[in-house]
Amino acid sequence: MKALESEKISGSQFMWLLVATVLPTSLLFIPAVTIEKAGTSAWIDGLVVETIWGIAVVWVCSTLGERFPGRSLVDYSGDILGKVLSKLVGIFYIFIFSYVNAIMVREFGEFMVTAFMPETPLLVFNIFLIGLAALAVRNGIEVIARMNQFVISLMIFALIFIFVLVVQEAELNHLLPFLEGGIKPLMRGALMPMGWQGEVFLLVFLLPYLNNHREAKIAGIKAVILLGLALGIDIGMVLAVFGKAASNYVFPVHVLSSYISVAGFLERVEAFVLALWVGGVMIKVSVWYYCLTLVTAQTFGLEDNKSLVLPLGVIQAVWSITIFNNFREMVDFFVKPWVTFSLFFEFIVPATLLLIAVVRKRGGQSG
Amino acid sequence: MKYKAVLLILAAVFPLLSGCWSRLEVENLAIVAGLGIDKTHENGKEMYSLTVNILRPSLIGGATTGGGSKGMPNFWRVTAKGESLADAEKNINTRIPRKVFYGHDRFVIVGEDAAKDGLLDIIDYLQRNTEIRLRILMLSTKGKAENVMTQFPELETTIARVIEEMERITSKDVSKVLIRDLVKITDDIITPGVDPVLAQVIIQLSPPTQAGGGPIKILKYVGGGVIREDKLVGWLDEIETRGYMFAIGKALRSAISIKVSPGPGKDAGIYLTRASSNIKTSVKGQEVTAQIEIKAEGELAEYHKQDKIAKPAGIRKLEEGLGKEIQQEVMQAFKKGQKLNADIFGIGDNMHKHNSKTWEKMNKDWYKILPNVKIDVKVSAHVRRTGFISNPYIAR
Repeated sequence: MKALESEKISGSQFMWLLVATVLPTSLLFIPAVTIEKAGTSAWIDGLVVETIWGIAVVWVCSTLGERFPGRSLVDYSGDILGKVLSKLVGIFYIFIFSYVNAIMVREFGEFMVTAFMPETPLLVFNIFLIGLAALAVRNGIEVIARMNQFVISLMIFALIFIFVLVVQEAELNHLLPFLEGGIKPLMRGALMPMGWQGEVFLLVFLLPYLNNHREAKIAGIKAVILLGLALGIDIGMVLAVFGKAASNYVFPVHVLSSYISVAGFLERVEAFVLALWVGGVMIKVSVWYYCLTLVTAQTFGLEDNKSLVLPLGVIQAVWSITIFNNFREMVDFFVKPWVTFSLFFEFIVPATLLLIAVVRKRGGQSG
Repeated sequence: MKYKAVLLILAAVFPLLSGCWSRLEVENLAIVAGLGIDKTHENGKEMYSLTVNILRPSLIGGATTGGGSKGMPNFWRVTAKGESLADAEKNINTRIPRKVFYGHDRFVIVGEDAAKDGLLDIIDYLQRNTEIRLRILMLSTKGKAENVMTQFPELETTIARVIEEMERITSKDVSKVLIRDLVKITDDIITPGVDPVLAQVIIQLSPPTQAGGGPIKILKYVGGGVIREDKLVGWLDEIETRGYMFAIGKALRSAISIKVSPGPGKDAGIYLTRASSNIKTSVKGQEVTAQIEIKAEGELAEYHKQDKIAKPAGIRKLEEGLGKEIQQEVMQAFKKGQKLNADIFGIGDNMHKHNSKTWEKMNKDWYKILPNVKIDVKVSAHVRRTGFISNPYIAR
């Protein structure tokens, strides 16, 4: 397994990777659901609640990782739980990664079919996306991280581009009344995006590749703050422009970009935005895909993860098509089971591992 | 072996290079510039009829000739009926040899009957459609939308352009019509405590300009249709519309005729240069009062009496007259709204946003409370300048 861990990424690359694993799809799907539940205060969910939750996840995962510098989760959970249980953890995460990644591929495909190319079969988008990601995964995490530095800057540029151009349409009146109905709807609205923000738990798998493992916590927290900021502005902007109707739009940000009209000629920029978005989603899928091959290799004690890229890609491509019958089924999944499901693999499993490690005094400077 | 494999892959790639998947060539498109929606009842069945104005690209471009040669309109009006709007949309294809493309649509005119039946089904269709833009302007008309769409554009190349430019330029100069897009109308309909007003377009006949020619059809904005919940319930005239725009703070520039000295008729005109408004609601028991504060600024445009008006005292008289006139217009608009039992000023929404606890109690029977709502209009009007001359000329 030495060959696997010879790659190294820097602290800032690490941070941007975390941003890229959450940002692309969260901006696309979260606003509608959150606004439906939390109403006019939905932006607080994005800005505050998600950030706090994200910091909690980052703290747990990075503390766990820092106790065992340079070792992978499957490896050190053997120390914590024993050999057999650690394999179970590995298999669990193989399932999680392939399942969630298949969902993300599907999300992207659905977006393309709904918004841009209604006549093209879903499978085409999914296969192209997975194929591209497979290429990236074969080249390793260093390549993904470097490519990400380029793509994420374009994505952030696209976001700023949308928000700046559409700001003239925003009516701050739409953000009133403030905290209508108290804290309860706010929390209900926060549940689903919490699962999304919690995707930063991936840092526990990427941590062994970090130059200096002490940077993980700071980089993770920086990433979470950036994500919270982006999500808060995103939700706030959609609300301010469309009001409550925003909860009815399937892809509010896409609608927002298509609503741009500056001086009567700068219009219909959504295709440009889309082009950048494809890059972002590709990075996201690549990172998850990479973690999937990594965990599979580690669980079964393989020397290299490259041989796993093709078979796992085929599984994901098929799964991404068969996983849901229709689009609303997918949204329903995110609103209902996703909340507890994501809480489990993003927070409870790492937190339990950390707790047992502390109790049994495994890892860390003292152990 | 490897060489052959590469060759095989290359050969497999070639079919992919042949072009885009579901491409549409421009010459195979029928570009829709405007939509009209009507509802009719036939044999007890509800039928939607969809009218589209399709551009004839070959006749557009010669803008100076008024589009089109030899009186041939540069658009083609097609109407189709169907049991649903989507059905009607597809039925249009039975008459057109091209793929109908709605992405460049600029407006939708809703006919009176359709608007009286409710706008929500129309809005649902328009917003669900992935080709139609959210920025399309939503208008209403007395009678059938189909009839409005026959107008032949005079100054611009297409009727869509006329409507669009009127929204962008003219309506802001007159403030007698408020043209809004699909998003804003939808927002007002689904938000409790506020009802939208749809700008109204009509066709007017004007005398022929050329000898031997027939009368010319002129497209014109006249006030707007009041929507209650999602149904058309009545019309605002131009002055009421301006009062409405003053109250919601959308009035920009306009000319207001005011009365300065006693006697019949108005005797001065003011160019409005800017205006803003602020609504506050207060509740005492069951009585809701809305304080509407309007700030208006203008300059003297004309003066008909022969006294020396260009003094501070004279200006004060003008300001008083302007304030009174604006107040009257706002009251008139509000009374019309109350008569139709529609909250066009958004007083309920204002209460919701700034006083949400009381709103919770009133939310359910707001339409019962609305007729008893009182408004208190305060106008602070300022006349800043008198134009290029000071006092009026006096004949001796």
